[in-house]
Amino acid sequence: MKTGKFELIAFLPALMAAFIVLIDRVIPSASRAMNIEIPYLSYVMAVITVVFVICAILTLFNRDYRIKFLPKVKFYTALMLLINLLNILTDKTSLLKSIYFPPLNNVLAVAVKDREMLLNCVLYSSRLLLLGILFGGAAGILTGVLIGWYKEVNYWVFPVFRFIGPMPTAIWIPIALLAFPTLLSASVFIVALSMWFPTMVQTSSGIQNVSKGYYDVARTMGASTLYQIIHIAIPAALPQIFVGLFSGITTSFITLMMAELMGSKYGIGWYINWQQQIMSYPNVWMAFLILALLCFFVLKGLFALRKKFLSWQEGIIRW
Amino acid sequence: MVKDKAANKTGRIEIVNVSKNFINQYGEIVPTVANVSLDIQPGEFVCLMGPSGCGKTTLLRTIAGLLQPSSGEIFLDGKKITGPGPERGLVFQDPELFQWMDIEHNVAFGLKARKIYQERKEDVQKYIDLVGLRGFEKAYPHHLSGGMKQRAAFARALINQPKVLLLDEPFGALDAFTRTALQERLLEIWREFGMTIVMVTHDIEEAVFLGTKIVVMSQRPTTVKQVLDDDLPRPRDRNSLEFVEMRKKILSVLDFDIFAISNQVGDEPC
Repeated sequence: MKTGKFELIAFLPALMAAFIVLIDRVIPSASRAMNIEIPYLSYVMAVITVVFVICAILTLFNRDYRIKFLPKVKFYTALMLLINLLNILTDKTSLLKSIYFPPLNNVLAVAVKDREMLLNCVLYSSRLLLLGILFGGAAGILTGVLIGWYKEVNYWVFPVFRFIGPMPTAIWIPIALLAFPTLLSASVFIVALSMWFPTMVQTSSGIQNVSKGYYDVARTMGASTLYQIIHIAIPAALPQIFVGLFSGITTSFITLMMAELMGSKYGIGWYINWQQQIMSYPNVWMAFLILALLCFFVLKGLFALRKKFLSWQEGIIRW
Repeated sequence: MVKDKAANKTGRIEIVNVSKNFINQYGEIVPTVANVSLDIQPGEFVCLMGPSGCGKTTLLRTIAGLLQPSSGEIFLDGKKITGPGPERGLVFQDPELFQWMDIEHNVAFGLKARKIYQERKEDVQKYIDLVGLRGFEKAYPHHLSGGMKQRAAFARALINQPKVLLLDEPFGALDAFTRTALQERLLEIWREFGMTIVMVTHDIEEAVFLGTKIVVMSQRPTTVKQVLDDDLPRPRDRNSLEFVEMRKKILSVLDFDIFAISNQVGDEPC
């Protein structure tokens, strides 16, 4: 769908979003017990409709934007259809059990009702994740470089790491609580640990896979060992280091729940657990949504970094 | 152009009774180079020829200092070679350009690694021009053709102003036209800088066309079979009678044993 010409299907997502609003307004809610006065879903979808209309109009005038937006039209359209379907299955017909699958409107209502608590949770979790990802990522790259570069380190240390790495996070909780002075540092350790392992594995294997010829060339040009590590080993292994960071970040989001089980006062993971226990599924779903968005933006940041550092790869590999 | 007059007098390589053994995965000793002695004068263009997998590359890498001889010594201008150094530039068959750097950064690598980039910044452009890559400074290696990559690899080695240029089949992977063009360019560069060149090649015609001396080596463990002087007048005509006769002579010294060679295919040491 890479096309330079304007196409009418640019308006399809907007149309589908408007369709959601229409259905939501016309068909009455089937689940009277859980009904909420304010139609949040209609409001949100109305805003999304307007955004999509603006996007579609932009494709009329801006060629670069057209190339960017048109390939995504299919996905956005499907997404809108899915939301519509979910709304019909839950709020409009109650075909799905409404305790576990509450109406979308109720889920959105949580974001308004519980906003202060949720904001605190997001801030707390963000701090934990940020520290965990930074420390874990840095430790992963550092240990990965040492293991990948020095055969001796690889021989003695890697088997130990390979044993430690895949151990379930739950095992670490008592150790972390004993070894670290504060709850925060213990939680950061748990998140950092799950960030560290994939980063370390990918970094070390990336460094071991660098062509020997590069080092031969560098050595005949008088490059020191440190210079070779910084200017050859690491840049050459960078594509694989990014793969490690990517899977590390994904695992650390999963570990977040565990880390926040150790007596936190706030945090998205903690919130999900708490709400699950009191069977408040609209809140659980909202928290899941926030967690997914948080993960999405962190990964988006990582991809931006990758684009900056690995632009040389364009033309060698398929992105 | 940067003309290094001193290079005309330096760049003598003395290989004294050098042997190199490898140890295979079972711990057995595999002799690869056996008692090779050669005296290469400054400014000479020496071509190493021999059956595939005989140990020519091993010898070249030992001169580069990337390998240590098992016995014997190699001297550069009277100084014993103990490791790699920028006065001995190396170009492989595979250009091995750093693919995350553009051509400019690739060529500047040696200067930066030795922290002399600030003083010699301007040389980067000079050497890019020397190999005919002006206009491709910002290009990444994968955007270049095989011949252009090899040119860049030459610029990256030459910028260090080596007294000795070690070439391991540098034109082996190129098409015939590019190969001829680069051979001519290499001759011009050699005449201009006057460095010593030691080149491993499988191409008899290439050896006769370029060299001042052709060293024919034996099967592994390799020894020097014969050193032939190639003093045909330059520019050399590949179709002249003398040229063809020289080729025949080398071929007869090489004395190819077809079956021995086919056993060795793909068995290049290290």
